[in-house]
Amino acid sequence: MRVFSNLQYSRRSLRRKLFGSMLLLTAILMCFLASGLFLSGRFSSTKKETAQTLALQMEVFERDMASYWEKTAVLGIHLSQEMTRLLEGYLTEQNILFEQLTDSAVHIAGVQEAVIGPLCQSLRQSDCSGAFVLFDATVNSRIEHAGQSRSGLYVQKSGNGIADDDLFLYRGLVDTGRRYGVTPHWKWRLEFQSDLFPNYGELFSRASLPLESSYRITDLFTLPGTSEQAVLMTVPLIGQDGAVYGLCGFEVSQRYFKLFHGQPTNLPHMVCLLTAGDNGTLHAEEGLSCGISNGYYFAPKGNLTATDLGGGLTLFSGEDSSYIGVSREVFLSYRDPAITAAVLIPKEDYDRALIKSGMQTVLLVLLLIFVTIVCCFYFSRRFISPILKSLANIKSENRNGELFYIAEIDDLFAFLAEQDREHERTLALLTQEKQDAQSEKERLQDAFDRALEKYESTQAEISRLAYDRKQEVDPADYRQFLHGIETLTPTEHRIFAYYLSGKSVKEILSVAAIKESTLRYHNKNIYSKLGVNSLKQLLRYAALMRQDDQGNGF
Amino acid sequence: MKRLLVWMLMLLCATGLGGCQSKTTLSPAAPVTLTMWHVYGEQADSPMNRLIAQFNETVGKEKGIIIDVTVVTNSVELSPQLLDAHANKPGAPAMPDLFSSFPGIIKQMGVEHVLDWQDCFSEEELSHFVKEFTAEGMVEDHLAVFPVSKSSYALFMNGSQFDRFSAETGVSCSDLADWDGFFDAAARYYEWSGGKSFCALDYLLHNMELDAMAQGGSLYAADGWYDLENPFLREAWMQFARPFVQGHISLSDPYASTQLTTGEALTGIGSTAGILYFNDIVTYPDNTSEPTNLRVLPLPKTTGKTGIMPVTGVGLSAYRTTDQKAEAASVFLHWFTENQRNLEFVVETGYMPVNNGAFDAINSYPFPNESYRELYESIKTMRETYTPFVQTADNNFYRRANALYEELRQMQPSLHQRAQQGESIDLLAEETWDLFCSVQ
Repeated sequence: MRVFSNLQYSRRSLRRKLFGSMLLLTAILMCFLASGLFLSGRFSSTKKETAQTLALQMEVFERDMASYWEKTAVLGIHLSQEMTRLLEGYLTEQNILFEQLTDSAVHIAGVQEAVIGPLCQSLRQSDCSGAFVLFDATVNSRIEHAGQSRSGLYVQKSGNGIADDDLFLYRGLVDTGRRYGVTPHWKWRLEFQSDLFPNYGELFSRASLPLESSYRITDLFTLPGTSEQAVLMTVPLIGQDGAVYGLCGFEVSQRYFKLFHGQPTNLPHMVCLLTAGDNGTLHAEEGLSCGISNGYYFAPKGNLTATDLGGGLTLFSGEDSSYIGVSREVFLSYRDPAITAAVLIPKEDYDRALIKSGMQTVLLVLLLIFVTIVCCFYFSRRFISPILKSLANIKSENRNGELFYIAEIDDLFAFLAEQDREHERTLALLTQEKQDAQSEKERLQDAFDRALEKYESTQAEISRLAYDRKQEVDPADYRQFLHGIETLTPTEHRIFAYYLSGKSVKEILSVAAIKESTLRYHNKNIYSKLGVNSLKQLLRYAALMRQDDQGNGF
Repeated sequence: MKRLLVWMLMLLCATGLGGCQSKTTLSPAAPVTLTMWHVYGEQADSPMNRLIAQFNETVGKEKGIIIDVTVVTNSVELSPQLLDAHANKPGAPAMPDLFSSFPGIIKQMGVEHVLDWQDCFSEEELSHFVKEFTAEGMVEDHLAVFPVSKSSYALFMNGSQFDRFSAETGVSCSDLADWDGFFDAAARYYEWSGGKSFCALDYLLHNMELDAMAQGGSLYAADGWYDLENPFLREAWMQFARPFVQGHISLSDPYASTQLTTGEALTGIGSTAGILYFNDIVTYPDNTSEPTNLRVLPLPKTTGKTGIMPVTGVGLSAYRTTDQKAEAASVFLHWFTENQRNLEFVVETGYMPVNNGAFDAINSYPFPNESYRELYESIKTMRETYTPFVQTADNNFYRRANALYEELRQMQPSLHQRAQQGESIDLLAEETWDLFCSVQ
């Protein structure tokens, strides 16, 4: 408080005072601005913007998934109906039962010949990486593990790209495939192995009409013999009599999913997951993932633990890396459990955005401070400089003629000029009066000198006269007179003093409040004691005595 | 006040000019993505993709480089796809930043469109690579195709079936050392198996050509195709054509690994890099199956002559775009061709290393299985006893060759049938020669 008080009353220049005031004003304005930005949520814009962007991406991804899987389901149902129709048509044409396919290489080849064309066509029409049809039959029931071997066709698109029409035969008869331009896959096998087919038993046991509620999406699994991971959308093949002939459907491989579902975004390392999640954990490697259109992404590994960050964002922490994102449960088929869709960005990207935003704010503040100081400095200087100049002019008493074009300063100078003129007039008067006084003084001094001179000559005359009188007075009488004064009573002494002061008898009677007789009595005593005969003699001795006293005094 | 202003200006300058002090164009905060097309592992597990993932997770993340593999194809389909992309044909994908290529493709594309790797590697660094391999990648005075691996040919066989065949007929692996023994074994297998092909050949023309070369003479004409007037060429063709029309040998469709997997052929001759694609199980039409027990032998040579070892394989090229991408490509290629990494990559893919150090270390490498050990034993045998020969990379050659193969595949069933019906083998072989001569 004392410091503030000291500052308040310390002697500062006008310019500094103005500079300080402007700075204070700016600081107050900036505080209000900052408060406004804070209240309007501008300071948390990075987090908010990230949350909004991710929410939007999630919306797009979710719609893309819903549309994609719905379309695939429709194609799958049509495929099932077509495969069933062709199979039953072949069985009718050959006049055999479905069970007679087993152990019949000819009929299995015949069925595959009948269905391979439509199967390839369905695959090409779909946005999937593969299509299959599996029959609950095998070409050789006598071999070991025949119980797990199932005949059918499994056709895959080439890995060269979405637009590539080349197909590979992953399962099925090679000759049948070749006739339709389908090249055997490097890891070709003649039949399916049901024990390697995901959820095979469950899919068969739950197969029922209507097909619209019977399609399923399998867990992610590794295609036997390859490193490719995929999920299958399966639809049962159910005959007119309700018999389940097998399964058909489409394959969506991780590689194809990544290629086909790259999301358009401005987030350079965004990852979209379609995977299993439970109890705040996202099983990143148990589902499909994709990145951005025409870009690369680092697929999350292992389990990601979710932690709510507020504002709609979630932190997904893994062993190797962490992500920021949003997740939502989606339902892609009727009876399958919910799958978690997640849209993530690497935490490093988010942290970098936060730092960048912070740095931008700091730089902006620094820039504002810099500009503020420079502006305060410049404007205070510009504002004060005419005042300082005018003050300097005032100090230099050279304030005539120059106009500052600032009303207050020009008015002040007009006022000061008027004051100057007034002062000049007063000064002239005073000077005149001074000169008159000086003349009067000189005249009076002369009179005084002359009076003094006269006085001194008079005094000399008086002394000379007193000396002459003294020479006329009897010294013995005069000594008696002087001695007699000491013998006077107080009343006599007072009356003697009245006489010396020049008072008349009447005045003494009045002043002393005595009767004339009393005065005569006292006069008699006084004359007697002083050795005089009259008042005139008394006054002459008194004058002589006074003359002596003054002469002693000189 | 003045002091404050000076500090402010210094701060602004430091903030604004900080980026100018950096020498590299790469930034981990803003990684550059290089798209890549390669031929290592189409429709199969790709060691190349695994290495690239490793690069992206380590050096790439540290330096700000992402390699994004957008196409994995085979060397046959690679050339037209690249040329379409380079020509920006409607429907063609964008040209990749890094791609497997032959010098012939670069010639067609124009060498000015690709990086000269000599700008990225010093002479001292280049001296660590096999000189013949780097020389092969030169187009004009540019090192346009950097060798990252090289392949040769080998004979692969279904060991399980061959053991039974060998036990019953006495044909042994040593009989397959030269073409005479090979064709003899093919005839005997045809009889033994009841009409099955002994061998599926991926590159019939190249095998025939090596046989002709061993007998002498220049084979190629000015247009990049064969000199059909060369008598050794015709003799070699007929030597292969006779067993072909009889069904003793066949053409792969498209690679020998398929015929071995289905049991349609006992052996196959193809690229050493094909080992990646051989199935570990052979499945016969009756759905019985057995382990392939893959065995690998050196390429048969011409009887009585020094064998000729074909050296082939694509290299890596980089499309010339920005300095940043050029630097990123250089970083990746340096990393990829380091001794140990080059060794691990080629051993997994069945290629020969291109780095002298990696070549030296291959003898002591712990191979993943016996097939790979046999493969590199065969390569070693050929390197030590055969004469190396770099095959043509002329794109036009492969176009005509593929056309010929397609015709022969379609002809073979009828030729086989006619041979079985007793038509003259030589006349049938002549028909194939006529077809060979007619290919444009």
